[in-house]
Amino acid sequence: MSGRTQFENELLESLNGIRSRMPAFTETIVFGGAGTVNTFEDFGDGWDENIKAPTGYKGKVMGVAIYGITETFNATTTPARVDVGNAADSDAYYVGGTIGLAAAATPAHPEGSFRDFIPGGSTFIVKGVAPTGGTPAGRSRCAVTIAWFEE
Amino acid sequence: MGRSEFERKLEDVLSAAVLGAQKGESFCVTYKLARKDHDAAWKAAVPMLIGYKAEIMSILRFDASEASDVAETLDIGVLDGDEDAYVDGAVVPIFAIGSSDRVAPIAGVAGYTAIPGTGAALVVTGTSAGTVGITSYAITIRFYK
Repeated sequence: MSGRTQFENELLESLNGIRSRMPAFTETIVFGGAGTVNTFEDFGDGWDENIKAPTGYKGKVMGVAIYGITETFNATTTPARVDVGNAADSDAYYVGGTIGLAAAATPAHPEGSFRDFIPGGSTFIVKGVAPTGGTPAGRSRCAVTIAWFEE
Repeated sequence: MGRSEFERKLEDVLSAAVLGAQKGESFCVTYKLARKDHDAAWKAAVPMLIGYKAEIMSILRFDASEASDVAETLDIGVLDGDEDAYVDGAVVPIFAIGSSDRVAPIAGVAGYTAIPGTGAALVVTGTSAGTVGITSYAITIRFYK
């Protein structure tokens, strides 16, 4: 028994609804540019990185930025992109937008599409998908921004 | 639907407050530290903002280029002051290339201390008795008025 009025119940439901749409925090993870060894990510070869999600939070990929380009991307058959997924499905959470022919002077913010929330506490994979055709090329830094919501 | 003026006003106020928060009363910054070598103690300073209190929301270890052989401990505190004021001896487990960890404690965990808005820079200190291990850290801090 709650003893709440109908209004109080509606208000609580409304506030909880708003709260569930507000991220507890956002995080931008930069790949490449780390200093001692790896100063870029090589899309020509493709790359991936395992990342641990924080426990108790589910994540939504908000965007991907490609910048600090030191080798022009090509896209003879299919262009490069950055997906976010897991070991079973490499784009389970986010399908990256195509990077195209990005050169040093043209950093990219390709628009991808949300597929699902990253489960809290899981290990997810950020994957730089190589372009295909010709000689795949493209080196840059990559920033992935994720909004984490309380589960 | 039968709401009093007070109830309607309360809902308006709460909605406005939430919208205000969404529009930038608080924001997060993620500092990526250049790769750190666990064969020696290391320090990295990060700037803070005067007038904004802060909380450490996440400490992510990732992007290792060399596996480590022993666990490391991590402190975060005030540069040239109490250097473990906010995080004291958090354990970074032994790691392999391609692995990632979230290091506690962070905001929301019992015992965590919020950072006052003095603008004093933070210092992150890693201490290890190991001989190998190179990895990156991404520390996410929420600033709020």
